[in-house]
Amino acid sequence: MLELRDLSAAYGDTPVLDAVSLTLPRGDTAALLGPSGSGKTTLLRILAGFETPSGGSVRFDGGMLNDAHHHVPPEARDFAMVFQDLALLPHLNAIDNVQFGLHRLKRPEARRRALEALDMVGLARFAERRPHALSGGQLQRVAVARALAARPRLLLLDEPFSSLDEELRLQLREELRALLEQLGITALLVTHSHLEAFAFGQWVGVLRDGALHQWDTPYNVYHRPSTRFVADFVGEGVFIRGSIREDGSEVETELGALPPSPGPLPDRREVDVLLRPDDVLHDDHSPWKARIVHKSFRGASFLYGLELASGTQVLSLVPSHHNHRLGEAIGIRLNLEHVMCFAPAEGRDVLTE
Amino acid sequence: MPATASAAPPRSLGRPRGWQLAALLLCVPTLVPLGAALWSWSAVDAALLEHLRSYVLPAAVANTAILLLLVLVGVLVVGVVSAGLVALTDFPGRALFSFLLLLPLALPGYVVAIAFLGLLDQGGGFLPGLPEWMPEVRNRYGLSLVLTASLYPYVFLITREAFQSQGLRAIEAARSVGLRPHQAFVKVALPLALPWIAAGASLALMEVLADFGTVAAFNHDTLSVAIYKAWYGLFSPQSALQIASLMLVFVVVLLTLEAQARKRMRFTAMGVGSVRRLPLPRRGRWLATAWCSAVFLLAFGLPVSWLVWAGLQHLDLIDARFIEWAKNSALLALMGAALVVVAATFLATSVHIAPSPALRTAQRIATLGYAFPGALLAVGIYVPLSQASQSIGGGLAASLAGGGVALLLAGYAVRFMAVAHAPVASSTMRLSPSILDSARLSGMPRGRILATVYWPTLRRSMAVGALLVFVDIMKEMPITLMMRPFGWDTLATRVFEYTSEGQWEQAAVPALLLIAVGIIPVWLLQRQTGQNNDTSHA
Repeated sequence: MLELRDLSAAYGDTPVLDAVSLTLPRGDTAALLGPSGSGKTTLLRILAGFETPSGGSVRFDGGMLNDAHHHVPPEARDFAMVFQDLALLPHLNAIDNVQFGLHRLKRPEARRRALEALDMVGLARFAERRPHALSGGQLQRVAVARALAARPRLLLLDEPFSSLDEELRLQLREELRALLEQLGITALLVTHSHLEAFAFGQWVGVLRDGALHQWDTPYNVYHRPSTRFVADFVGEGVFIRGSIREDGSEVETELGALPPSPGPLPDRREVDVLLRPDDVLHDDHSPWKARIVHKSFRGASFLYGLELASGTQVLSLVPSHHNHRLGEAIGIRLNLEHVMCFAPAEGRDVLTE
Repeated sequence: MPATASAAPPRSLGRPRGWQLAALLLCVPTLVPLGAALWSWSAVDAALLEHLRSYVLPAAVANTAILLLLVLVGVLVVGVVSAGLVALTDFPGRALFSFLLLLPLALPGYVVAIAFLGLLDQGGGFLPGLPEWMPEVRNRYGLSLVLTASLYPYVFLITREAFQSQGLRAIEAARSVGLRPHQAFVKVALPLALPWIAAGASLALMEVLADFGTVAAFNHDTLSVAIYKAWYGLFSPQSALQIASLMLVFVVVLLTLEAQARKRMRFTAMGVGSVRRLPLPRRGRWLATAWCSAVFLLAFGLPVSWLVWAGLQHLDLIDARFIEWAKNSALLALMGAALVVVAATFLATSVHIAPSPALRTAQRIATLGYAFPGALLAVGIYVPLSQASQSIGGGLAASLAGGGVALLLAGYAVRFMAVAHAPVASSTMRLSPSILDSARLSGMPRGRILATVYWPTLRRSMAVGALLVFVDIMKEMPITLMMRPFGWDTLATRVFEYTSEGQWEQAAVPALLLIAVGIIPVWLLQRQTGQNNDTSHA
């Protein structure tokens, strides 16, 4: 089990991480999500032992790795890392690259383990190939095999799929997730793509400016974002104006009254309610009509941008056999399982990815 | 708890402090001559200084400055025109000339001077005799011509690269908005290549400032010659150092020029595979061929032919003594190459492992020596170190011979550190920092990292660096001449002895051997840089 308590870090006078706390159960996978500069890579490098925190503690399986009195060096942690640029040596073939991380073992044993790891990622027959003779996806697998071969207690992944095309990325992610599950390895992935984070992690953390806004299941991060930033950063959606009744039982919006989800509400009556595109359903019988102002085709569905009579815009994800023209008015209704209210913000209201 | 954390720790090998300190010390040999030049003003011999001021310095400074200017014009015209033709247009023999025009790099200026002066003196034996209208050329104009012939490749090479990598595409872009080919060249390709041209020209000028053999053969008193004469004529190392400090002004100007140019060299590689070269009209095509042929013949064909002809007349010079000179040259070059490549590799890997500002500065200083003329280095290293060793060791004559070679090697190390450092440092760039991180995460010990990560990656460029330094030391003249232990003649110093007595034909024999060695790096260079040159031939 990985435990961070109030972990802080700074480069000189610039704070990078601010009191981050989280717990990752043993054998689980997690993804840290955040825009560039949010501190996610620094967090990963602290876990690896490359950098030293300025405060707080890191524990793994009960052992203290970092606090005011401890700094366990990287080589003593039994962790492995898959780097963004893969860090493969150009002059070594695939199996020697995997073996590179196993230098503590005797040669025959290291060889056997390296081959086994290559086999796990389906590359046993490319063992003798050098990096320049392997495709992008194959290189990725070699890097993963190298990290797994050492049987690390914790696997750290620093945006390892960012250089691949979308389809390959998805495939590798699924394979890796299955492999980690099978081996029971605890893993933490860093990424700026929420789709990648959701597909990989049983847990997802959202970082902004060094602060951990939420550490939760992917479902909750998407549907029950704890802050406006998380709602904004993760996926598409809009905020519409609402006002909370005196008794707090419902929020009045121009698309009807909604029961707010349990949890703390903003301490004011005027709020913003988060509407995801999948919360807005197309319903010809609905009393609420909206005019289509833009549309984009996504294969299985259309994403419609809709304008209500008041001028408020919402997004709606509609199965693609409902093909309407721009300017056409269609009926919509809300179907929210979670009604998330936030203090209103100035500025833009339409969320994009 | 303190609010600050360890900021940007050194990459992955922890903090090898002793090691870093050693790397920092590598910049000391470069700083010694600078310190010596300043120190030389601490005690002034009024009579000597008056002599220098009245009879030596005005002429030396003026000669040096005028020579720099004349050669600048020469290398710009020859280098840029040739590079433009070869890289941007198409004409009969283009691909061949792209290589042939590099060949003069193999000829040190003093070798071209031997052929030039030998042709004038004894042309009758080789050519049917010189025409009467031939103007006198044993002056600074002839000298500039010789130096231009041996130094234009610096401009040609780097400008060819600039034109090839972005000039062609830029010209296409310019023509697509309606500029005619020559307008596109003048308005787009030439301004784009300016930083490269300036960098090449400043390197060529550094060589002019450093040149000793060529100007000595022409009896032209520049600052380099003045240093030599002050040391060996006036027997005043201090005066020599004072002249050297004057020379430093030129060094600083040229270094600044080069640094400014390099800062502006923004390299945006544009694919050249599908680009068509500019068409020349029929007459223009043959004019281009004629220009390139003329440059090649004057800078390489004619001098080398004469040297071969002259050398063949004096094959009897190849005796036991000659073999001894060749062995001395090779031995010094071998020791120097080994020393320099080890030091350069140590420096480059240290900076790669722990890129601290202090180490980066040390690296920059330690590799500045290419801008320091050999004469300046010779006097700047010899004087303080021999004085230091005298005051410490009591000046035993026996230890001086060994010390002499050590000092000589120190001089080579300063002058040629950059030659070996550049290829090795660029190879370290191929190793991403994460490779070191990953090695460290797996607990690999430092020695093992050097063996499995650095050595396989760097060994090729170390070999290239060593080879380049080897050839440079073989051809080096002033440092060897001034710092060699008594009785150690090398091929280059023999060339100097012969030329100072006007024995051009005899000088041709050792010169030919130096040319043969000098061809190797040119061939390497062509292999490295000229590859896409022929594939894009439409």
